[in-house]
Amino acid sequence: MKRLIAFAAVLCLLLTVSAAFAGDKLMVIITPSHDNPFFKSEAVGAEKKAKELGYDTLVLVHDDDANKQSELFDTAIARGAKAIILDNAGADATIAPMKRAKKAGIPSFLIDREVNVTGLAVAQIVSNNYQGAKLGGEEFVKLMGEKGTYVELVGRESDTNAGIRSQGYHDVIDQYPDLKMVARQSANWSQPEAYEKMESIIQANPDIKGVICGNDTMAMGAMAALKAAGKGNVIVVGFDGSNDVRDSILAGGIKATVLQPAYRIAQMAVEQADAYVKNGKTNLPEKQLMDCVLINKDNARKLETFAMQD
Amino acid sequence: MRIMSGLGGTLMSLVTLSLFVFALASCTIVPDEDKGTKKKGEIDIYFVSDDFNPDAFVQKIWEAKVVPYFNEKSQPVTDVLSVWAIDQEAAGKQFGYREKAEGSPWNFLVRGEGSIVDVNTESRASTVGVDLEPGDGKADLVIQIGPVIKDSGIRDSLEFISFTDFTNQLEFARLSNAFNKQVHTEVLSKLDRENLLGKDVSFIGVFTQLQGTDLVRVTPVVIKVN
Repeated sequence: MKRLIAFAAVLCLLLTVSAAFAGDKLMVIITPSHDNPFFKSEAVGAEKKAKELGYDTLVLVHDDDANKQSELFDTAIARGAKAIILDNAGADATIAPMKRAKKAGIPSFLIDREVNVTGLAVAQIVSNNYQGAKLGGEEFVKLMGEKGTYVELVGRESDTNAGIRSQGYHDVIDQYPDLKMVARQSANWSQPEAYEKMESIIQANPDIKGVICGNDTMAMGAMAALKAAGKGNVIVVGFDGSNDVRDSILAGGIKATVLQPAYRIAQMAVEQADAYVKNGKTNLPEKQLMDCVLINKDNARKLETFAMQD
Repeated sequence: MRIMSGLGGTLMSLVTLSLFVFALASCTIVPDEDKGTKKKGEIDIYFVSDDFNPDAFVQKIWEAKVVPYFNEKSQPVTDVLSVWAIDQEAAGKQFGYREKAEGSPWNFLVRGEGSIVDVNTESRASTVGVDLEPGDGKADLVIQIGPVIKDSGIRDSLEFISFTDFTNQLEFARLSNAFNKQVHTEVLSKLDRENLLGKDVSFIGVFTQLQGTDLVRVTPVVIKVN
């Protein structure tokens, strides 16, 4: 049955299995698809730290599908994992599987995305998205010269990060009456979806001056659509701090992004999981915010894999 | 796919259920219309609900807890700045507060006196530059006088406020905005904004360790201008 599960996992669920089949010291790491380098960086950071601390790891992806995530939790429970490190597939949809894991004695450590309850996860370590969005919003306003028409691409509706970043952007941008939003759409964090949405937005609004995006993959999609339409000079700002956007900033494409310390957050979650496994507590508050850093052409060179190099 | 990862006995019901849930999920209508024509304040922000009333929350604790807390915990700003100028981390350890260490800036509860040597009311995030006693004619710090107040220093310096006690980041952000709004309506809106230059000022407030700023930016909780 274990082999069957593994077989199904590899073939059907696009999983990476990197451990012996023992739950003894198993840490299960679940994130959205590694197509987005942000989530890949989380998985890599968590896996590296877990191995350093002597754990076996099972790295899984839920592809932002709550049903699939639920199945992955069952896998983790069946395998008797010591802890689950999770970037979840929905602030509300994640609560039920986390309850099952808790009942089975498996603690969850959330990274990047929070859930709307406390007391279920041992830790929820998230970027300070509001602080970061205000940094990005302020930079966008400056780049726009405080006036002009702009578009906002919002993230996935089931993710509180989509809401909080949009809130942060608007709390800044809406102070400037000469900045006019002509379109606001969700592209679900997705690069191809952002490309398509942007294409049709450009047709309806050929004179837009700026695009502010809830993450970097949507910024990449928007930038590609703008370039294809001969509008490569439109001001695009993202959020995440990916190497792709860094390279675009250095090449004069996208103008700015906001670095989330994704790699470090994933490692912190593993460290706290290890402390919890050993001592039954972490001595830290459950919900922890990590400040973000504005990235533009002045400091983009120092950015590498979701961390600043000194 | 689902068959292989399902559990033997309840296989069919699981498949049926998951298909049903999947069908429901794929029927969810994602709002996709252009909301850009709506006025400020009418934008839908996911997860913002009326269940939490941050203004009422703040009003309930402002006079009873927040102002007394600042009166009790604030330290002479000149003491803090003398260490801060040399080593921000050392100043943090000696005078600062933060709920947790990694990835969070220090917050400093401070009080002081001085004179207002410049006034910036062109920006909606207005500030006054304050030359602390003993004076040398140059601003040692700026005090935010609104209406737009930046930073979340008030929220983040209160030991009885923890992110864990709030549903999500949206609530926590709205809480900070409500604190800043309270400062504006209760304290700063009473200032005579046109006649601040050259006046003496005393204040109790908070400043936060920020990335790449020149002068520390104090959010006042109490301010008196003579």
